[in-house]
Amino acid sequence: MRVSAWFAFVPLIVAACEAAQGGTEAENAEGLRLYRAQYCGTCHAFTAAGTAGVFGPPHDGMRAIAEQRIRSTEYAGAATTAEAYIRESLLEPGVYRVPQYAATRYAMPAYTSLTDDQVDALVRLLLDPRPVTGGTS
Amino acid sequence: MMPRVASTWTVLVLASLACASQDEPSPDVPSTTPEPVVVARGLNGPIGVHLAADGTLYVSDSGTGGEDSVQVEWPGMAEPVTLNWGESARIVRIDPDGSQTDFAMLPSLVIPEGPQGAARFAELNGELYVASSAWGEGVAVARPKNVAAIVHLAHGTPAEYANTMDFEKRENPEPAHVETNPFDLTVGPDNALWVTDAAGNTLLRVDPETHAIELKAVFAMMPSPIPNAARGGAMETEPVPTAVAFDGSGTTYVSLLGGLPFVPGSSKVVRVATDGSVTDYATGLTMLTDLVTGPDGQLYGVSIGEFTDQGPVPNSGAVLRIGPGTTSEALLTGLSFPASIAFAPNGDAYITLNALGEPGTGEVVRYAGLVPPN
Repeated sequence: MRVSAWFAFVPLIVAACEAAQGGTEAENAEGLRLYRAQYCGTCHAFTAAGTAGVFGPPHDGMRAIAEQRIRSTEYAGAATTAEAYIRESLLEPGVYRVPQYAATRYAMPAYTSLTDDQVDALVRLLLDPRPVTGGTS
Repeated sequence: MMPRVASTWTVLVLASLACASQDEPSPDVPSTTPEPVVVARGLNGPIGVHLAADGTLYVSDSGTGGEDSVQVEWPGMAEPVTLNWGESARIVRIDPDGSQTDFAMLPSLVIPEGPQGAARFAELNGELYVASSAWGEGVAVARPKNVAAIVHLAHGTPAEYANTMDFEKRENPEPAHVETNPFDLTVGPDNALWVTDAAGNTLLRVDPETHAIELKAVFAMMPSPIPNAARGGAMETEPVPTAVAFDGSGTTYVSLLGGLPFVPGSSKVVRVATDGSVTDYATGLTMLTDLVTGPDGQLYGVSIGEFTDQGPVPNSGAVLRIGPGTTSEALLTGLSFPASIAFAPNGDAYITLNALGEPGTGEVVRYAGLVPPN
């Protein structure tokens, strides 16, 4: 019984670890699918998604960039973690715009039409992207 | 991932060439694509090209901004930002002997998408006119001269002929925002200048006597798969009228670029009736930036390139012969950000390349006999 009880916990531990690292392969793939379907790549360059957009800031290394931005004196949003910053950028992009891109005519829209699960998938993808095997083009 | 995109593109080009070689050539299209000859280089975002009646070629470029600054606040922006600008947009004259000289200078405003300066030409009664730059009510200073204007270029000295900002402020026909970007100019069958306002989303006519601007059509927003920050998150995008042309019977045609995210196939050519009503003419097109009537009376369009869900696709620009419905066909493919085309009476085509790109990389190329002569 003790052995089987232990094994019952393994999936939970694995799931917790995957969540901390940005989700499962399937969640990552769903994030990539959404990233493409929402035309994020028209504006953003993101190696994991194979995109080369030019109108908005690049998305490579987003976890570190987000942590840097929320510490910046220019930052005007409410996020205190990288995850919260990315979520805020998706849902309330107007509260803080990256300075070099603030004057674009193609301002980041608020993706409030997405479901909570879809926003979660995009946040996980941007925090910890994994390229999908087999390419994305 | 870019090599995959590039190789996919290469395959598509090769496949299209292979298919083309198996098809019966259209009686009106050259069976082999002529080789391009570079006739001007070193341009900073060439947006317009015009072959004057005397054989002189004029090219407009976007410039590189300048030392002055201006505070702007576009729709959807959290707070105002400062942009630089200056009189660095050039009208370049290329004489028949190939010599290239700066004919006139116009304002150039640097926005994140790149500099915005001189756009398209028209020749009315032997005089050259050009559409110049953009403006809106979110700009904190007074409109500089020759900005958001139709500019008369007599002997290289720019002089405002009409300005679209005053009209936009007064009428604002497409009411979401007060902004204007006079982009394309064409002489109409009534011997007046007709203007597409790419930001105002209108077709305008300038009275040749009074220079007063008259509204001819307003273009409706287009469906979009993503929300539009400048429209309160509505799932619609700007139509962005980029060019106006007339056929032999005087019918008016306008190319609509279709705004962000520039979904391939969402661009089109519409017909504008005399009452201002707009109907689709050619559909399923991609990022049309120019529309002209060729020497053979056919409509020709320029597709600046493809933006897919992976961003811009290198060397995906094209020149198209425009037909009704979905019958348009590509004459040239694989071009690097072409923006504008002008034809000589003998069917030679002059095309601006690298309209988007690093300063100095812009070119004009000539394709001899691309279309049937007059």
